Amino acid sequence: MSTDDTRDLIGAYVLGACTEQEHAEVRAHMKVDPVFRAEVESYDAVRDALLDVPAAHADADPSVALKRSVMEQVQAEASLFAAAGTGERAAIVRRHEQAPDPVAPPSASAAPRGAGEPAPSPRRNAFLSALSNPARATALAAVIVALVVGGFALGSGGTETREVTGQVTRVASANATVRMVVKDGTSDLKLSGFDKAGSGRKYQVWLKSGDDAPKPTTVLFDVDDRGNATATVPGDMSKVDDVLVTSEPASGSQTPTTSPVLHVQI
Amino acid sequence: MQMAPPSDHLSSLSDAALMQRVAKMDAEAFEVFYDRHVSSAYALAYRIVGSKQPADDVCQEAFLSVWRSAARYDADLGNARSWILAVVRNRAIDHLRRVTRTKEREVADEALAERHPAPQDQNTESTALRNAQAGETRELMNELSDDQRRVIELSFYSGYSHSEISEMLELPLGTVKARMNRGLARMRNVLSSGDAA
Repeated sequence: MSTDDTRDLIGAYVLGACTEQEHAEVRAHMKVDPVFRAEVESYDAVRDALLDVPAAHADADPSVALKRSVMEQVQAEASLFAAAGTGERAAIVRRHEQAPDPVAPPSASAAPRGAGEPAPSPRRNAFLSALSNPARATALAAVIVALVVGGFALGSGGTETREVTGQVTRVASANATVRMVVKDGTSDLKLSGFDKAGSGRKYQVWLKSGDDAPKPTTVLFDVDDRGNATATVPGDMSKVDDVLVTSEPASGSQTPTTSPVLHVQI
Repeated sequence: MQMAPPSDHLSSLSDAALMQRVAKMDAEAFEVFYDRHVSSAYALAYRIVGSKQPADDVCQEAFLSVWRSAARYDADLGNARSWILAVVRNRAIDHLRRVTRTKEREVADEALAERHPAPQDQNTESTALRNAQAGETRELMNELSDDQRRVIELSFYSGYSHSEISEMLELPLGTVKARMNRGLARMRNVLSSGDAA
């Protein structure tokens, strides 16, 4: 692409209307051409002005519920961070530093209107919403033990065992805990102190990767009289980010119908 | 959850100083940052998505994203207010793209149509422009020709790419790019001369 061609793209770049490839080309040109970079940056004030729209409607004020929802999540994560050891804190900070750039432009070409991904179903929306806002889950006990503990340890015979403590988001007992133990390629969810799933119901395991909808597994189980259970999660976990468990009809569901009772971040 | 107000000390800090604390998982500093910018963030989200619940969702997602990636914030590359607003804008456009051709979008469009009735000769373009026209028009935008304003609104507030706008308005791609460039240049000149209201 010639310099003139790239210059023609400045407006579209500032407005976020480029394709991904064009966006990358403009960025690359900015790195090698200070004059071009200055030209692009001269539009920063315009972009800021476009972002800074006045409130349009009297009824369009941010709600108190929005702040409560955001701050509950923030305070829960801050508590986890405060409770974590030095090593875990460093790991969390590293993850945050490596987090995707939140201002990376939405891809105009990857998901064009009319050809984009299907919208989440209302049930999935409710499920994901509950995930991002555990406080919405009923009977919240919020037994947040730790984001990740244990780390890696060597088991017998040199086999690597990984243990991850999960987050209990909905239980009756404040002593409920969950951890996932991965050993010899087998992933076991170990629950303790949980209520029964309910009459005619079972707990179902779901696997979630990135922003994808949780995928159902065939793993259905219930806890024993003491509230304990071990459930083996099948398959390759290398691409799984989160393991979730919900209470479902005994035959299982294809889409979660209740908020998760636990969440293990792999 | 009962939330105590953040301390006065934090309230007096600059955005950049707050972000440094947020990067260290300081929830109180984040709350001050939230309070300072949520109205603008919400106004932008509402303008793009056109209704309350999606605007709530967009803001929640954007602020949590900022909370979790504050360590990436670089004050040398711009102020924190622009940063959060850019995150909100991107999340809102993502939302628009996700709900295209869905019931939710139809409902949103119907709600918008009630507030901003479309002209009789409604077409794709006028549908797309409803969200963009939902808010007050900035004085700055009044400096633009109708053609320039249309392509800027369609891209910035409705998330259309230049090629989509070209197709929608049945204009050569070069014309769309030229209108964007000229419109932005006009706005830049107005801003630098201090003429904008």
